[in-house]
Amino acid sequence: METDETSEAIPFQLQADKPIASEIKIAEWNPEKDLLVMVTEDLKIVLHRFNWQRLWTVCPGRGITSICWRPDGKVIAVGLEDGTISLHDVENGKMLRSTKSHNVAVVCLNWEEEGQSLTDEPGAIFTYEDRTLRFFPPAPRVPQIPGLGSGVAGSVEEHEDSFQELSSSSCQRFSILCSGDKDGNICFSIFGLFLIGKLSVRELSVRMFSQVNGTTYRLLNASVYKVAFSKNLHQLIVLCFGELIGNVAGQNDEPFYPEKHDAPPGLHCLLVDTSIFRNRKNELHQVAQQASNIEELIEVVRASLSVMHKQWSDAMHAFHEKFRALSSLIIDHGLNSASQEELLSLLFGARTNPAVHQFLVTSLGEVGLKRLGKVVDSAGKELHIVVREHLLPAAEMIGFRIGELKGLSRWPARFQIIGLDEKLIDRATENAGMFLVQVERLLRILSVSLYQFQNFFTWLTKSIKLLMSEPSDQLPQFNSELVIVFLRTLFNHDPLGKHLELSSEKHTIELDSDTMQRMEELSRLGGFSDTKFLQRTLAEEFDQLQVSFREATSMPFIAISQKLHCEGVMPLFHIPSFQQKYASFNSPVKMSYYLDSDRSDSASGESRNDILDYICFGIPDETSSESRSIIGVARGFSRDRKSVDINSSSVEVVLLRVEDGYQCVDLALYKDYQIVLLLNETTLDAESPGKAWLMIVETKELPFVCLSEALGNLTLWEMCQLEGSVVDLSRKDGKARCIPHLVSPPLAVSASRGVASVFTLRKRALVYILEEDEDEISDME
Amino acid sequence: MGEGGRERGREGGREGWFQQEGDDSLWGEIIPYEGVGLCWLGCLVGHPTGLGQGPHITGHAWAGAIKNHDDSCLAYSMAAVCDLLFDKGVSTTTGMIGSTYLPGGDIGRGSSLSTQQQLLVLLKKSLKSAESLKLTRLVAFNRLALAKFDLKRVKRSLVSFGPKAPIKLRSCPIEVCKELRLSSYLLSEFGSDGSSFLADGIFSTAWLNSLQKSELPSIMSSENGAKTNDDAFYFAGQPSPIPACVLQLAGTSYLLKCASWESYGSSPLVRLNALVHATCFADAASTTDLCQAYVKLIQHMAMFKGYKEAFTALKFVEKKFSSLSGSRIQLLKLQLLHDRALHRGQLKLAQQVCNEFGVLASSISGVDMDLKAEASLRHARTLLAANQFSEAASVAYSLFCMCHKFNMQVENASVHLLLAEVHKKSGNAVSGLPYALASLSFCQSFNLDLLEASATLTLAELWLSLGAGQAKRALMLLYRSMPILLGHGGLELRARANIALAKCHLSDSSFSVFADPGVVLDPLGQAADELQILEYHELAAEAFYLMAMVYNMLGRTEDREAAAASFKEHLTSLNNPETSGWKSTLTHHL
Repeated sequence: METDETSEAIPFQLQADKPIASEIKIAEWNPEKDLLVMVTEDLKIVLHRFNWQRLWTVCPGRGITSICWRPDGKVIAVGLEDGTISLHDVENGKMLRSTKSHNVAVVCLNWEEEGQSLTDEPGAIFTYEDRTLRFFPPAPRVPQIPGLGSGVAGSVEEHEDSFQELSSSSCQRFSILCSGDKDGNICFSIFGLFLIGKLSVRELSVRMFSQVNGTTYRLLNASVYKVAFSKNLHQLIVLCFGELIGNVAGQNDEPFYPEKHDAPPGLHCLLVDTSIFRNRKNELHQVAQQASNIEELIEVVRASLSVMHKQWSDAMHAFHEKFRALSSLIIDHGLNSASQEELLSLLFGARTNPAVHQFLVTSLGEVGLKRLGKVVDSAGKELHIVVREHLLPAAEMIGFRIGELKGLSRWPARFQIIGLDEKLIDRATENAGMFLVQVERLLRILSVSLYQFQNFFTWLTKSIKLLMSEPSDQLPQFNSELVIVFLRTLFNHDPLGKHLELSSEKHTIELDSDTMQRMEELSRLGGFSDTKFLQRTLAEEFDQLQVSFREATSMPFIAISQKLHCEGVMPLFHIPSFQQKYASFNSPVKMSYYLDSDRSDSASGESRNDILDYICFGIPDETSSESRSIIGVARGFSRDRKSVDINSSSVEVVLLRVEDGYQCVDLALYKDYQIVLLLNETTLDAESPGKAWLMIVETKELPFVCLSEALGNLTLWEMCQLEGSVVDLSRKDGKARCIPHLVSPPLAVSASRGVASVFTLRKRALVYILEEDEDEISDME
Repeated sequence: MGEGGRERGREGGREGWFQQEGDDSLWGEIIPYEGVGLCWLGCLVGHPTGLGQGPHITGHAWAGAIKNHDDSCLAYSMAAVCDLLFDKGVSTTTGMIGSTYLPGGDIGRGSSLSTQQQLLVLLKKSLKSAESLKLTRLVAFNRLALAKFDLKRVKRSLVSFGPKAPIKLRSCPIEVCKELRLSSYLLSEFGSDGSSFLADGIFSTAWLNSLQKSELPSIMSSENGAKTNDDAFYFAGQPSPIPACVLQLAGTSYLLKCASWESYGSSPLVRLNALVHATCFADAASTTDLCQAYVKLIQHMAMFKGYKEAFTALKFVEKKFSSLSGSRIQLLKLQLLHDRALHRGQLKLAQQVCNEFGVLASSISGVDMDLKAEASLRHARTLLAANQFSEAASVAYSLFCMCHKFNMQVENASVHLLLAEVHKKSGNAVSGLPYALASLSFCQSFNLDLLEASATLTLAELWLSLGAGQAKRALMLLYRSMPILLGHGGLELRARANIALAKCHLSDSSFSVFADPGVVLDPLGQAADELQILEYHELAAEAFYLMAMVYNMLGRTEDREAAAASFKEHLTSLNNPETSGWKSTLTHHL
């Protein structure tokens, strides 16, 4: 088809042209490797290689609303319709972690890590080693439910490896995942794991971006559309819909739109000061590293408890089921005694009740008994394994990690500001300690119970043999004292199950006076001040641990959330009335940050002005939702408001009008201030299939207009129209290549890899190499 | 003051691990091999007298085992030999391995391995055969011994050549951690070696005891409606089918964990593991073990809450273990007394206690190298406190020689640190630096994080005393180790760190007190508070002095006067230690 592909005049080499099964909704290139992750219309996540080889497909089962890569390209964050964010491993697509920090659809994600130059910064001396990795073997994983997938040992192994990767290597460099939802909530989580802050822009009072002492505006009913962190994490640009109402508390009492109180919704650009992330990144890093791992371990404990509970209650159920027959037999024989009494009298050799005889020889039988013994025994073994492999190591590591957090909390000069509270951490430490004691006790109860059951079954086997007058010398011996204890306790009670039950039901465990006295003694020697903790069950203790830990970590969350605030707002354009429903709005908007080469040499190196933000957006036409012929490019919005130099702190903007007969489908920001545009032909006749153009526009030469302070109440769009600064753009203004099909969004461009992927309306995927450098291409292999 | 390096190696009494508690006649039942009985007899004989017949008897057992092709016996024997060697110190038994008694093939005579390495090989062999023979308790015992070993051993990789061979020599805490996850192993496997059968009547004593306390869950009574107390019996002295020796081994693993965290530096875990032992294993543990757990708790208390509370607790524990001739508690008492005397500046008392220590260390009941090292460490420290620098240095040096001779590398770290302190105090910071650095590198290779942090602190103090120009460097060092110093260090270490931090800021020319006085006042205030709890007059005086200076600069005269008054108070008590009633304290406590 592409006959003129080799021709030198045509830029952007076509690398792949493959059919796709279903329409692509979202596509993002991996920042490190030539991998393209896509979300299809039928709710699948697909990972393709550069050469279009498919690596894996996963189906989260819910609507996918956003997707982004971790900056190192090893993890994909997926935002779902119900507010969940899940992290997937790039190797196999397995879900590593899922958190629900939003209540409504997560519409945008942005994951950014701190800049490269760590060693030059004064904070380098605060670098901190996670000692856990040195002192503990790899952390335990969530136990598998036995019988489910135990056959595929290989995949489990794989899973463990990737999980390890998430919790350890993610901690190499500080990164924050920012997510915005439909209700205007923005959440921040460190490493994508540990929720550290939340900001709501739904209703907000905010100043106009350029006015230092200007009027305050009110943003109403806002929902987030896009978020973008600056590279050094000190500010965040948020694009949101909403109604902007003027001067709530300003000197001018006239509302912005006096004629109708509710202003037309528009797309607005908010600047959020997130400098706390940059200024306290070492502290946050250390706290998040410990806290996210503790959360992980708590999940392991929870899963272990529920697996154990299930196993044990199944076994107990089987046991009681069998022995229920005995009590009904006793009643059938017209007796009024309990099963264990009858069994006791069998043990003492006084008499053998016919009911017991019938039960043992006929209804239970040797085989049945053997089977029952096996059920209990294997359940017990499984429980032991879970304790050994999961529960105990997890409890131990929680203790250590909380101890490390406690160490941090003791340095108030650095950690108070991010809300680490020594008292709360102390309480969590105490709870972690009590939990470890409880686990040890559980282990003891488990061993004793199992032994008791074994002993009981041995006795029963022997009794059956005796009743059937068969020789029983070969059988193992039993301890009759333990049989008595068993009949009095375990036969009808389940002390183990009580500990494993994660319910709200309260059990109080009675303690003997010796133990109570010992606890009192220990508390005088610096032991737990709560001397009655052994009266709680293990599950209750676990609850306490969770609650206290959550309390302790909620303090940093509150402290950080309070320090996030909006610095200014810039209205971009109003949304035409027919598009005012959120769902129908699909204007392409991209944001990116570039190193400001113009400025960085003049300004002192420490200034944060040396990063320049670019926002580029397609402006919807008033007439139809599909057509967009105007593209806006704004830069310098995030520049330092407080800067004395007025000239350097204003927004510059340019509007581009695409050639007649074309409209902008999607756009993307590429490296070196370049914009990649995807244009579709609009004038279609019936015969021609229609064409599209992929083009790169250099923005450096464009005539940017410096917006003055007087922007006032107008949107950027209106402002520019007034000033008449709309530039006509023709295909000759940049490198362009014709695509012989009509295309559809999304356009995915990778600045680091120099590639772009385009999807046509006829379900084909095209991959172009934007970079013509030969060595760049060879790199991609 | 070497908080991390204190007291490793005396974890856990060993008696009773392989026998039912207090019942020597059960020998044969637990260890069903004649030869092994012989072997353990050897161990026991060896134990109290140190240089007695032990090695010979064990050797006989070994030889017998080999002759009879009795693998289990061989495994037991190997463990016994290791235990013997480990506890008695390698010095006294070098003749044993490689003697005619041990025809152990590849580890025999003429091998170039050091004794310790041979010991390790032996231990691993024993572990292997115990595992293959499913001798649960022996496996547990071997793992404990191996953990003790790994705690103090640098792991060398087997491929130690070629360009990519790892050069870093470090100990392996992860191995220790794995070896010490013992309780879950023991409690799930204890029945599998077939030796756990309990004959009828074994519980009668326990039952009778409970009956006396009339707490027996209605086992004997027949009313059914009564709420049976089915929870209580697992923890108290009521019938439990788990053999006491199994529980004892499991409990000992917690004590070893406690000791390991002491050196690795996690103070919450030290306390926690001691507490787990004291809570969960009190019913089965030997008194020595239990006493050890209590000792750890009191040490922790002394470090974090001051001497007053620690002595109260000590008194209580003394009463509880009054039956025990307990050198361990006596030792703890001496340690506390010595530390406190040094802090208060009561040098005569300190010297006296030190002498007591010397007596303990040179006792005839076996040679305890750790105790010996501690005694001379304390001796040197006393001399240092009395400003007898060259004497202190020479004691420290001879200690170093001893440690070197007996391959006690871990102790070397604290000796070097001590030498650095001697030089620091004598005003010769430059010659102190190499010692501090040496100590640092020892700490790093043995993962002694807390000691490392305290060595870093000393290093920072040394740099600081070289002049204001080094303040930045000192500050950097401090910042790096602050989380460990503040988080896991005791009162003294924390106070020192805070004072050093304030001093760094104050001597930094670019720092202005007026901009944020809290940067220096907060740490100073905290240090002063903590030092007052410790009654550490010398440092407290320094803290108050610095505070008064800062207040003076800020023009807060009232605060300045208050600080100055406190300064004077501490100085007076430092100069007149006799007035603080040490004589009565001494007679009271000794």
